Amino acid sequence: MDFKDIIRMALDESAEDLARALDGLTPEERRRQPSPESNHIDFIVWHLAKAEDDEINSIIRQGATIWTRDGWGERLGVPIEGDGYGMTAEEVRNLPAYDPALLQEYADSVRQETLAYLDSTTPEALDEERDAGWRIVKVGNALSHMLVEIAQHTGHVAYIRGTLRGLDK
Amino acid sequence: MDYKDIIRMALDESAEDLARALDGLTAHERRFQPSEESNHVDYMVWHVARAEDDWINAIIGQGRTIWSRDGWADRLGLPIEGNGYGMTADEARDLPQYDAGLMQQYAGSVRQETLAYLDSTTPEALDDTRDAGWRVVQVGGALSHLMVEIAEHVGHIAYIRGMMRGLDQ
Repeated sequence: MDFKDIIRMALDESAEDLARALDGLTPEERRRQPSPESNHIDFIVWHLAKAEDDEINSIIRQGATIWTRDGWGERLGVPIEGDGYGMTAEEVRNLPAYDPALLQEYADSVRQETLAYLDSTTPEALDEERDAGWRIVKVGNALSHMLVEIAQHTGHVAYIRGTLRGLDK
Repeated sequence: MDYKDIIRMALDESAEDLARALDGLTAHERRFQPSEESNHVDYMVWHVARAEDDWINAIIGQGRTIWSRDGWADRLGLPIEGNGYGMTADEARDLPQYDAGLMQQYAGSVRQETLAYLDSTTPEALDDTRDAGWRVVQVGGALSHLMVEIAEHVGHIAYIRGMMRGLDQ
């Protein structure tokens, strides 16, 4: 077992937890905001996949995102350049409605690329530096951050489900 | 950089996010439940430190928890057994009040042991198996799970803060 397995297992666990938290939610539930400035699930799920895409394909691999490469903005009807970071509460509330199944397809393509990247990378690459725009990061740090960000957002979604459905329902 | 750094950075990031999410919360806010079966912040802060203690010191380390070794149940007025997993909604709601500063001390001691364990362990140990009671896990699997579990719970707390205080406040 090495750093790749640790990362893969963490991504798998969050993916399973996220699937469980999303299972069977209605469009209304996915848009539910427990307070006016709280993020809804549609926002979080989109942001999460887009952030992983940015982190892996744009920042670490210095290439095009899957979002751009495969025209996902148009396919999903979400013509937004950024990944949602820094959006105002109003912008979040007004995120265009999208097809959750199609978003899942996008998220799956992103994850496939992430796993392909992990397969192909080396321990030495962890120390390489990348310009993330607002700061210089090491690749290892970007990967660690991604794990934490994905798990935290999964936590948000699970918590919202709990407020809507009750404990473990 | 190696797997240890990935884990350390992930734990550090979650710890910073947790400190930010807890900063200045009142005792009343720490007990807020957005729905009847939703966990409150006091419950989660205890549970997440207690679970880290179990994973590192009881399961991986096959020794005593800091909780039991240093008499934290008495000091905090909380149950000696269990880490909150599987509690009913009633039990979580009725968790005894504790001193948040003292809890932070407990969590700090647990983290110190976790980092000491990481310093002293070897890559070979990742493949060792441990009996976690309800399943057999590899040490690497347990560490990966720990990062995800902590980050998810931090996500819960940050989401609750957002509900009560608004976006980034």
